[in-house]
Amino acid sequence: MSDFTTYFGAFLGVLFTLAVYSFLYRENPWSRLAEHMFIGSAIGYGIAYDLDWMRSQWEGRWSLTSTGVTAFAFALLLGLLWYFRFSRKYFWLYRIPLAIITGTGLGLAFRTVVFAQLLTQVKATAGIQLVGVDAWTAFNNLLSAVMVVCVLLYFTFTVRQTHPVWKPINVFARYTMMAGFGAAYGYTILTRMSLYIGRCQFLLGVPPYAPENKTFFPWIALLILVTLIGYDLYVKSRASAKT
Amino acid sequence: MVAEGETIWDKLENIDRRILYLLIWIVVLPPLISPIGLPISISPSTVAYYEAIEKLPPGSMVVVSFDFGLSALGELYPIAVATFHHLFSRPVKFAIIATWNEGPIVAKMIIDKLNPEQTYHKVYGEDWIFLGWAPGGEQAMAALGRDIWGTITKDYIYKKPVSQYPIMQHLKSAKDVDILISLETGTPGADEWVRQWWEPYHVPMLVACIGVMAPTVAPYVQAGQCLGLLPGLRAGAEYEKLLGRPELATAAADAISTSHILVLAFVIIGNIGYFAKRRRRME
Repeated sequence: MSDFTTYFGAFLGVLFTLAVYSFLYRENPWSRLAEHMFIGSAIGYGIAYDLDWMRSQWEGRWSLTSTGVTAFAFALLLGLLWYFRFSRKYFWLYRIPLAIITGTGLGLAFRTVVFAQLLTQVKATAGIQLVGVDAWTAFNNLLSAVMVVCVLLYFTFTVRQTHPVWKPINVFARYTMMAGFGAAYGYTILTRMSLYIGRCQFLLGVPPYAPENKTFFPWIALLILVTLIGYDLYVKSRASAKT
Repeated sequence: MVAEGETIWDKLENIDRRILYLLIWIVVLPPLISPIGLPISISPSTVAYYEAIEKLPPGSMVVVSFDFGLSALGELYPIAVATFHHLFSRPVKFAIIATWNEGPIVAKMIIDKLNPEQTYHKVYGEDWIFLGWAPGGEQAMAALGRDIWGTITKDYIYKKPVSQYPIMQHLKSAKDVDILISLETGTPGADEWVRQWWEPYHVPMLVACIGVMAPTVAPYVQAGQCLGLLPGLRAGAEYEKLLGRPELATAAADAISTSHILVLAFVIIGNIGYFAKRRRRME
């Protein structure tokens, strides 16, 4: 049984990985199948896991004397209101949980956002050391400070930036932002490649992935490739027959 | 083959994306099958991440949060495995939580792989505990910070009340936590932890994130809110090297290098095409 589960799991894993990657060639039935299966299983998992969480966390606490059970029952009722999203007549009820979620979320975030994500950063930037550190660190710190100031000035729209002094500031700010975008893009490439490499490791059965993956990989790849070419030819022949 | 009226520079600028994808397969697969062993240099932020865990006093309380799902396995799984090896090898206590509902699956995979009872002689419920998923995103983080027992009432593995475990007698709110480790890909993640755990309770953080999130988290490192940052698989390889446990990230390091060299080549070729065309137009 466990052998069957391992093999079947490896088979499905390899099949759906390659089915998703077949989209790189063009949209096809394999990629659509994988897409639908993914959406279905992800939603199924989400619902099942929610219910399991409620059962496990609240098992044995369903008594009116339990602490917080009234609040939990209220939350449950509130949660059910989400489903009025699908009713034209009672759509307005859906807005109640939406408003509560938005309100509590914003309230919680605003409570600390100014300190955690603004003032602390400003303090850190203002407090960077130029003396008492090695020359390279001092240069880096100075550069950071100048970059921050220039970019902030670049976005100062309340002053008409016609004076010649603005030109070098704006040029430097633009280069700073380009460097920032470049770094972000570089990291994006790193992420995309890493995720792809992770899938390749899965296909090749690199430990801890099941070694059985390596066995299925070439055969399923061949199957998908052949059917993909066949499907392509079929679509083209149908298109030419129509014209 | 260059069509009439189309120059080689036009071709270079408009290479069929399928050729590019094929080339990526070609440069990535060989180093994974037969690693080259290119050198890996270690960055200061990786050292800071390592040192922060290494220097934790015995008995310190750590919370590890899985703020990612299965889609980020390729990048964060090796880092998570290395972090758990490191934590289990230190005389510290830790709790595992997840703010993403797929997080517990990944955490369970890692626990099953590491088998801490056998490998590290760590006792569940005394040295570590798996609290599972805390639904609600940022709201859940705030609730956990205030009252962990009230937010997650039962543990993930045995479904027993958390109050019955010895480790939980020392872990009731964020005030009891010495360090928070967030393995994250986005929202909820480091931003929300900074807002809900760093600002009100000043819990120091370590963050391991997918590369694309690094520019978002980097300001927290500079501000001292985050003690160390592992951005992406490349940093994972550095961390594995520091730990002396080369695993998945190290195995992927060569493929990262070859794929990046290819991307650089694409960028250079594209730019050559662009500038050559511009020069022709000017002429």
